[in-house]
Amino acid sequence: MKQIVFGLACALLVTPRVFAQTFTIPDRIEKLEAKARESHNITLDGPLLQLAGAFLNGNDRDQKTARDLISKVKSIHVRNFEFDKDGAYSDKDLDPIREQLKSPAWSRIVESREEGEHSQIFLKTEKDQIAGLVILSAERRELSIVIIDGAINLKQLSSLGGNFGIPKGLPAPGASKGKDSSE
Amino acid sequence: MDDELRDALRRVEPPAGFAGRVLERVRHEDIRLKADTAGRATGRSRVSIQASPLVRWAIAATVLAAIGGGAWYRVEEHRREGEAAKRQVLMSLNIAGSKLRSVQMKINHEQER
Repeated sequence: MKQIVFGLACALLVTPRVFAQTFTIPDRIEKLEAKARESHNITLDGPLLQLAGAFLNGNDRDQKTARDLISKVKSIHVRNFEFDKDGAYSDKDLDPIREQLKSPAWSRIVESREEGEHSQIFLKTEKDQIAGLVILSAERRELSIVIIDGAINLKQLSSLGGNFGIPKGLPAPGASKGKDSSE
Repeated sequence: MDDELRDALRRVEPPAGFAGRVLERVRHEDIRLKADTAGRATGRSRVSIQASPLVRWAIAATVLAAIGGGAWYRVEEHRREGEAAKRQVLMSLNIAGSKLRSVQMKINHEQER
């Protein structure tokens, strides 16, 4: 009986910490998919990242870079929506995510406001190493949320933005019409 | 009463060939029992013992095809999942990288002004 009580007490103490490490994307954001002209909804956790790593071709330079990039990543969440008209969402819709980034581990390294567009980059550091990255990019007709948990090389990541090794059927954001949603 | 009992218990001779028919039947029964025991000991039914080689080959081929098909399906399923995960990784890194560069460009643009 004492063991059960001790176990429950430990679970109660541990649960909030575990929960605090997990990002919650607000329902209001998830529901934007219905309004979007095109959307990308990607959630990749440990086992899926490992599986993907096994299928990335080491002989291809870009795929090798991608494999190196995800080698220390625990999870990736991407929500990207493109709309036909302005005002499909409000910048305040992102506030619940910003609230989750107020913990001491996270720091905002970049913020840009320009003509109704609002972009922010947050970094999580542990022992002077990058341990997480969040990009919030709110444009007039496009909203992007990228949450990467784990060590990531920003230079490598930045160099990959573009067409790198993406199969022809997978357009870069804003490059094609239609709706693509994957979980 | 005594007469009736004596009459009922009177020795009656069996019909001709009765002893031969009994012995024949016992012999058949003995063979059947031995076959059943052998079938159970080897784990095979009497049907499989009596099945023709063609039927046995057909059963073996069906079992092999089922095992091979199952294995192929699992490998193909794993490959499909891996390819899908790879596409998602490339797509997510592409979005992350392009947004990172886009923000960097905005910052540079603001600094230039």
